[in-house]
Amino acid sequence: MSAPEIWRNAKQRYNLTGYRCKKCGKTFFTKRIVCRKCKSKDLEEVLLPWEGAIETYTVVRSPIDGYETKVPYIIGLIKLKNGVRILSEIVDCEPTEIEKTKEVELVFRVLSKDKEKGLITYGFKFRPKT
Amino acid sequence: MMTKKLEVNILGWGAYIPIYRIKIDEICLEWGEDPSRWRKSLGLNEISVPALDEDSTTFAVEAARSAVKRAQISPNLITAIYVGTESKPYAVKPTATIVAAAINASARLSSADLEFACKAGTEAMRICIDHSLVNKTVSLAIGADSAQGKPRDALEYSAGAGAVAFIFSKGVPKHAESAAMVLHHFSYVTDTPDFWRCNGRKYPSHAERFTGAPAYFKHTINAAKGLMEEVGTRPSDYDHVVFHQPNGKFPLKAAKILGFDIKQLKYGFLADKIGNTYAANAMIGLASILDNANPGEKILMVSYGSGAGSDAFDMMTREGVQVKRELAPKVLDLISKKKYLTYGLYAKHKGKLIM
Ligand SMILES: [Zn+2]
Repeated sequence: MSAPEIWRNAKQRYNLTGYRCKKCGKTFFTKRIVCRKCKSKDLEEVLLPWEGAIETYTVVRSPIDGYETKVPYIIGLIKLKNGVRILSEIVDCEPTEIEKTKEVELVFRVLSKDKEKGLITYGFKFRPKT
Repeated sequence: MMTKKLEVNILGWGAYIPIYRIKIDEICLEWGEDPSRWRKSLGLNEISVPALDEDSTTFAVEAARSAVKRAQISPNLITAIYVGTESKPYAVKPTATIVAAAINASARLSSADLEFACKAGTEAMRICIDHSLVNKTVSLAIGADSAQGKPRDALEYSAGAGAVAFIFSKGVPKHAESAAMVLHHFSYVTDTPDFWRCNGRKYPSHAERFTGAPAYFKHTINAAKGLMEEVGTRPSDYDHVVFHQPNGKFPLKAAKILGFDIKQLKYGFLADKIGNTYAANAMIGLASILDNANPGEKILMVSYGSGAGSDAFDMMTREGVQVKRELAPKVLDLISKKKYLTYGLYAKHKGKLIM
């Protein structure tokens, strides 16, 4: 990611914000112009819950660029407390422990580091609830 | 001579310790050293280690978020954030502004990162306490470090990782409550070359035996004595005392020299379980005291940073301390939640393994 891209999405990455339809109350993770449920255009930015449950997961052994030292790592589909689903890395958890892990909570971690210029992207991940 | 009391409140506190540990025995196994000799000479059993995706900034954010929870205030009220660390991920680019964004603080903020080896965190506290005193506002001070020790160096056996945050306020904002009150602080610094890291170097250097008497003990003892003299207190007036803990032996010796009883160190002494967390070190001990103390108890904290200097603080717990401790993870809970690493994994976690 470029520095402006990192900066533009920082709020959502740092604090897990989403968008809520002011008319019907439906909440989304990704930015929307129109509510998928009631077609209203009146949406507001809101904080999403920092707790949820893992619905499914995958253990990644062929890493994406920059994640070479992290294999194996876990990507989970998380249903947040308000029902919104998001994808996140699950940390502080070994592949042998993930099967019995259900409840998770948000943590602040390094997402990536630019290989050439060193700029760090910080943001949310999830870990087993303590 | 009695000086005027500061009476600045601690509204909230928060600690963070990563879940990974390496045992001193495991490091000894790697280098063919005798574990019982090292455990005995350092007074340590294991040290905390960051996860692969953690650094002093992520630690600072976690500690700050817990402190905000305990303070029960809107982060908008905070008008100063100072972060003390010697392991900034960036040489140039502040950690304090990342913390501000991650706790949703306002942009109308006085902020910077501070470096003074292991004393940077308490220097952040002093600046914030004085900021709150002068401006009658809320401030956030953080000590955070993910310290590095050169492979096989004595520091590799003691460098831990963690962070701690305190929220100060002169007066108590609406709906908030005071957990403790800072009454006095006192600093003692001299130019002493006991430990240093040059620009661009990954690992620090130290002056071996020189780190004891002319460095740690001289500054710790002078700051503690200076404060007690100014305030008019004696060691027996304090319910709790916490010193900087570069190892498990120095703080015990400092306590003895000053005339404190080992019982007064009970909650603040944590080095044997997590190692030296540098800028967070004595302050994590203070957080642990607040996790356990009763209202109306007196606390003395003395930090130490190489280079060198000590900050001493005279504090008193208040009613709010008991309710607030339940609002975020306690230090002893953070310490007890752990996973052990082999030396190979530890080297990877500390970035000692270059791919
Ligand atoms: Zn709608």
